Amino acid sequence: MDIKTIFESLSTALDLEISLIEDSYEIKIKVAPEGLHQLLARCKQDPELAFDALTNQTGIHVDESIQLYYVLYSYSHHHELMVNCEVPLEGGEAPSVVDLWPGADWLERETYDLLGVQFTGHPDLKRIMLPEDWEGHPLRKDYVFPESYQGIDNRPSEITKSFQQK
Amino acid sequence: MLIETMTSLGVPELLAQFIYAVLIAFLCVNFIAIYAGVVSVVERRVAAKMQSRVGPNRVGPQGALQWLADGIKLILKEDLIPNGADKFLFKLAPFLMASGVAGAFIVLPWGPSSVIGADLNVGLLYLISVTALVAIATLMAAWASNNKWSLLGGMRAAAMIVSYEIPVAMGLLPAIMIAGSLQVSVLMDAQGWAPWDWIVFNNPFAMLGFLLFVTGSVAESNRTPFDLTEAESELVAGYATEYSGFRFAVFTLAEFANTWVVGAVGAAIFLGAGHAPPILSSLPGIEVVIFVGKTMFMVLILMWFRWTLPRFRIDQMMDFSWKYMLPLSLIAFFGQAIYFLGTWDQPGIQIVVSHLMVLAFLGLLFLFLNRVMINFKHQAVVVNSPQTELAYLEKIGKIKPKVVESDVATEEAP
Amino acid sequence: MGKQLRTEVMTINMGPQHPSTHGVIRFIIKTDGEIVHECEPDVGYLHRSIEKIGELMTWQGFVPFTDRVDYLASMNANWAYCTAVESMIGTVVPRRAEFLRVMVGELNRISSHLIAIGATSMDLGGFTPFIQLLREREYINDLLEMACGARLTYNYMCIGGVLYDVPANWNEKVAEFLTHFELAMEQMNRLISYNRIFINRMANVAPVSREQAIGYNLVGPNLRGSGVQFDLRKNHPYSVYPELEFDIPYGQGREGQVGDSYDRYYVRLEEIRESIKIIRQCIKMIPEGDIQAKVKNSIKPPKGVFHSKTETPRGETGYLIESNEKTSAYRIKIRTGSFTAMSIIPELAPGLFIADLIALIGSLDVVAPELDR
Repeated sequence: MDIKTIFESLSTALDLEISLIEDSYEIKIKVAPEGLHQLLARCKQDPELAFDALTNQTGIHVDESIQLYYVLYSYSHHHELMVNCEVPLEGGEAPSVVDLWPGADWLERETYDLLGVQFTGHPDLKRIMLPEDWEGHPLRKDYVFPESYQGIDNRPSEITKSFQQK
Repeated sequence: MLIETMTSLGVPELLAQFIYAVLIAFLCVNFIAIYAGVVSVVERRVAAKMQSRVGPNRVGPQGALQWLADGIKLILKEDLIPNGADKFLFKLAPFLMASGVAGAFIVLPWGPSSVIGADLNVGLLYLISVTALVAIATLMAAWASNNKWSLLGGMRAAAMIVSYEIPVAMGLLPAIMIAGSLQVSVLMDAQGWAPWDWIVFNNPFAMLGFLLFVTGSVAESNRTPFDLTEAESELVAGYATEYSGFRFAVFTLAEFANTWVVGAVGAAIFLGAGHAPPILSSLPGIEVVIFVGKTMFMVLILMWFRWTLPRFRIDQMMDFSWKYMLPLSLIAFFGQAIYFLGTWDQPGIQIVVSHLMVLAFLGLLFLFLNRVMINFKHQAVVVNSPQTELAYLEKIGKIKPKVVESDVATEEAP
Repeated sequence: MGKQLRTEVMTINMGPQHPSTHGVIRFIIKTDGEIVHECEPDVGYLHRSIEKIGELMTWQGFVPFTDRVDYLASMNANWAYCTAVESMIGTVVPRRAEFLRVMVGELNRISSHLIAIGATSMDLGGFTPFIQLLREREYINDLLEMACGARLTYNYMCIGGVLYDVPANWNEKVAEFLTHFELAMEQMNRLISYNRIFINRMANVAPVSREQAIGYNLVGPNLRGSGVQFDLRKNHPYSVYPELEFDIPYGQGREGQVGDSYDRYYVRLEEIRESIKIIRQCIKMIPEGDIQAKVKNSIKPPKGVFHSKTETPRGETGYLIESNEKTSAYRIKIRTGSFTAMSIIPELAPGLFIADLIALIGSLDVVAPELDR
């Protein structure tokens, strides 16, 4: 199905505030965090849409907010959909979709680990890539590498600094 | 013989027997030590040949002294005893295992049926009982290591060894029935030089007994496909986890020496030990050569199993022993008895059956060699052959095709 | 009586270093010695922050980093990224470059599956097939070294095509290798695939149903092993795949349930045969021509977020790239097949023997570099 048709059917079926983002690539559907779970549940359960797989889930830090992207795919209808949701940078929370797609478990843990987005309703939200006691969320644009970690010196050496000077 | 010589020289009988026993034990233990080292190198070269690589070939001619290098390295390692381990049992376990295997050597023949360390009239029974010391030693090692994982691995190994004793013992029963005695020299003399005089080809139940014996022995010596207890990639390193240095070398030594025991018993009892064909029987020492050849053939088959087959899971191993091998061994035993009942006064039928068995075996061998030839043909397609390069250069015109002399000659003939 | 004899549950560590080729992955297993009660993977030991580096490098300069995302199937990893960026800037890759990409991609798929099959066999105790398959892989390494000079991390593709042209007699050499390899593959196959011990170890071990596979987003041979007939090369074809004829193997419950470990293993075996077919067709169809499209030195794709998928040996690799019209990406997110394959292990592990857990991890073909990036 065409994304515009999907958008029409979703906006008529739900009374959420959803809009379209049209940039140079595919059209994406934007929704507020409160309505995210309802929208994705509808995407999965509607037999016309039948998005039975969550292919990709990530976040991008853009100027004081984190843009979450969900890429859905349907193995029966072979169409794809990207859903966008904006959460604030500090204390941003989004509903977890683990109950819809079990594979979202690790994807959301990675987004929490590297970007700091809390997912409410996640069974076990803890860091996945970095050690448990790491501070900070590295994929944010304002991330500063720590000077030391558990007593190991992390400052760049003279040679590294000579490469970094542009 | 040696004892008579000594008593005739005036040595008291008891002392003569004691000296004889010490001499036999000394020879056996030395043989085990050297054999285990050499066969470890042979195994590594055979495995490498099967896997298209070379194996150890640096130390000594073609790597033949690798075992000396490994032995010296292991002796020089630090002797660690884990904290909280039962020191006495920890130190005793490897040597108990080695003595269990060494104890089996004294009833093994070395060629002619008169050259046996101690020709007990319950020789085979003694053999099977003494190798059960291995199970005790395994449990001892597992318990004394003070390590949960060693204990689990050791209990599994002990359970496996105990359950595979039964097919081993019952697989020997058809042979014992044919020869009529447990004495090893009688069993050897009951066979002849020709394949149809061997016990293994006597009747199908003896062949079944032989197969059960070999499979059970592979399990007894903890080799693949039954080496679950030693499998490294299963995160439990087995009962010998905490052993290092020379103690670990003794465990390995016992395992390799066990392969000789399996090979020697198989060759002596089933494969017509040492009997030479009439043309060769006048050569001195021919019986030793033939016997050692048959034993090494069995040992090479064990190595072949190890590097070809994947390993069983623990429950599959126990299933295999109790649900499949035990009924088969009962079938072998009863089948042999009924066969004897049926053909006791008709030796003609026994001769015919044994000849048919040899023919059937030769047929299977022929099929096997066919398969091997197909493998060789597959290997004949060579990658990076010069022919491809030359054919390509001809195609693009860089070189001219070669003119063969004989073609030119036949063209000119009328 | 049975309840009173219950043994205590121990927590053990299948540590970051272990004698398997899956890489540095750690499992925390709660077991009573035989049966696994709980298994929790602990990943991140090979995290090299490749996604953060993508924000510092130029678009073309990021290609060698994609090699390291999956160093066992490096050509396909390069290809996934280059396809994404080429779709963003709208470059048309020349036909010869497309065919070269397909050929080296399929050769690399063969060598990656050889490692997967060999590592599974070695974990189960059959050491010989692994080493013999490595010998075959050496031939593939030699072929790819002729093409680009490297044996493992190729860095062969660039935005707009491939970097180097292959030598003049490469097609003949590939054809010769394939003739030899088909027979050698059969020899290896007879050692393990029809071996009763191997089948007993792999059949009916951790079957994954179709719904579970789609819910956990398993991709690639893992998904096809559960009976889903889906392959990006057939359903959403890219490059010159629409012109090539090949089948998609899928799990049919050959020796047990549909979706057990044997099915996943067998799908990989069949995929090797299909790749041989594809390469043979490419050898016949490859034209002469350019190998690189004309691309500006400083690439600046239009603003926006783009998602593209390609089929690598371990499943579909999805690249979600945001561009800010600068010379380096704003965000690159790589979603690999091993990541979600790992997440299904805590679900499947309870109730398995420890030996079965090893077979399961081998059949899912999880490699650490793809997992941690």
